[in-house]
Amino acid sequence: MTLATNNLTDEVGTGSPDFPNGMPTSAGDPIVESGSNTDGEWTRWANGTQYCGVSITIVYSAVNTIAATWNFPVAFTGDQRPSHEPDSVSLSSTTPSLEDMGLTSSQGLTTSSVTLQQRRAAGATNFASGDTATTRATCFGRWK
Amino acid sequence: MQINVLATGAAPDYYTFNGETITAHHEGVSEVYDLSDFPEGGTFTGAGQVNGVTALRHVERTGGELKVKLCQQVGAGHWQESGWMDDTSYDPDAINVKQDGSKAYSGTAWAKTRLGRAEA
Repeated sequence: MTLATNNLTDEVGTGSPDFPNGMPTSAGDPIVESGSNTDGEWTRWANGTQYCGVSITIVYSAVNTIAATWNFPVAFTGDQRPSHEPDSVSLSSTTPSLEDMGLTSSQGLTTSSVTLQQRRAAGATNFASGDTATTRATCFGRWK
Repeated sequence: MQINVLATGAAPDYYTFNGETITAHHEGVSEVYDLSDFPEGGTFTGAGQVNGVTALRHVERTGGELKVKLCQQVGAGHWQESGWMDDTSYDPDAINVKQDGSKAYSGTAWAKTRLGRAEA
């Protein structure tokens, strides 16, 4: 990585104690840039890596699934790999017991969203309308 | 109509309102959403996109009043939703969402309006 230390910009960090003239750039992009919005938090690095994270509520979708669609706070350009981990305390308040839980999964992955799912085990107690749980999701991928 | 504008990574450029009809505009493409038939207690399951971008995040009718969650595109910086407001207070040329002052940020935060990218 070549730092344009002789060409600091105001694109990201005017006034930062660490970078009083702005975040240094690499090939025209800030070395690191970050933000947050309704859909979560994100960080981008100049090498093209992007991270997104959120805490989101998954809700009753079917008798065997609680789920929610996560719109990423910023879009990826590719190589996005999501994961999520439901909170065991909130999951224990659903109709099936923790021992009834099955696969934690995702589907419908695009560059801008993914559906996060928690399934119950085959033959276990069904989810009921109104069941919800909190899950913590992250996704790494590319922004350029 | 009550609206709440969410701060999101992708959104229409702006909206226009006519009664309970919302038109979303994105890069020269427009999509009309007539919500006048949305019932009391109805469940919103999704709406078509405008030019590949989601325009409506949530719709409900409470006490006869329509409540809709819309979006405004934001970039770097920490942002949060506008809060509920009457659609007559929406300004397509302004930043309707709010900066999240609870998180430190020393850079140049921006959001997109009808006029283009606007610095906060």
